[in-house]
Amino acid sequence: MNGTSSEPELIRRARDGDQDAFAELVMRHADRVYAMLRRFGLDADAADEVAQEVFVRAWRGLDRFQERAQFSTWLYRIAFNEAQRRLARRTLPRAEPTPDAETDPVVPESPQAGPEARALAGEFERTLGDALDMLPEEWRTAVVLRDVEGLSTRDAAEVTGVGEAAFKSRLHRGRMQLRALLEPYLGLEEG
Amino acid sequence: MRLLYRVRFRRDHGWAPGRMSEYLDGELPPRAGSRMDRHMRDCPECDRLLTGLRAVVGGLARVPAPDGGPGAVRIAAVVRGRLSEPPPS
Repeated sequence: MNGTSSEPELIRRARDGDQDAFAELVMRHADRVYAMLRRFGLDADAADEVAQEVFVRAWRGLDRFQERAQFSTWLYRIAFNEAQRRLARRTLPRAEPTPDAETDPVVPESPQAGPEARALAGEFERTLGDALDMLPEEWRTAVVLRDVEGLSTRDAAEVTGVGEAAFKSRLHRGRMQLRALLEPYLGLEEG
Repeated sequence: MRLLYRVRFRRDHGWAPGRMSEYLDGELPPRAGSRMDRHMRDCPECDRLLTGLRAVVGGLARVPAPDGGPGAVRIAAVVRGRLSEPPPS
């Protein structure tokens, strides 16, 4: 495998049946796809299985990939759809979006405010990561794609298959609920 | 004049929170952006809300990756072994 080939070249070779080229593409994207699946709400085993399925489906559907789009965005679209399928099989009740994110937040246990808490590197970000799991699925997906993975609003909306206006609404509600959940921590973060 | 100010303030106060994400993402049109800037100067409550939202969005970009995971090498190896599978009928 050539670790220095450009992505368009690897895609072209993979389309011609070069499995080594495709395996290189998998290497480049697997960690992010796996992390995103975990953030969508899949446990470690499920995310592992679904990540494999994402890439197998990508291999079979390479002819449908339009090179004007980002390969990663296309992969995320497949990952989102596969995650939805797996999550739909769960028997646990899912959190439903609440009309007003600010009225009844479940606030995580706050650390003791003080110099020690401030010195803990990444405390705010780690707590934020935990709070993500408390969001309703649609809001969590929007926040993960836009703010954690860094997709543009347009690309993130395309991944989820909704219009930009609907996506922005979910994103804003997710962010506002996170802000409410992290209220005790905001004083530490702002310094 | 004061009455007009209070009317405008109440209107902006009701309008601003729902547009804060678009404002942070630079997706508000210029006039709406100026309206938000003006209201932030006038309203400590909304300014605090926006500051908290900005901290959350900034923090999300630094959220650590989930622990564990098989790693790209293992996923690639497993996927490589499955590429010759026939698609499901």
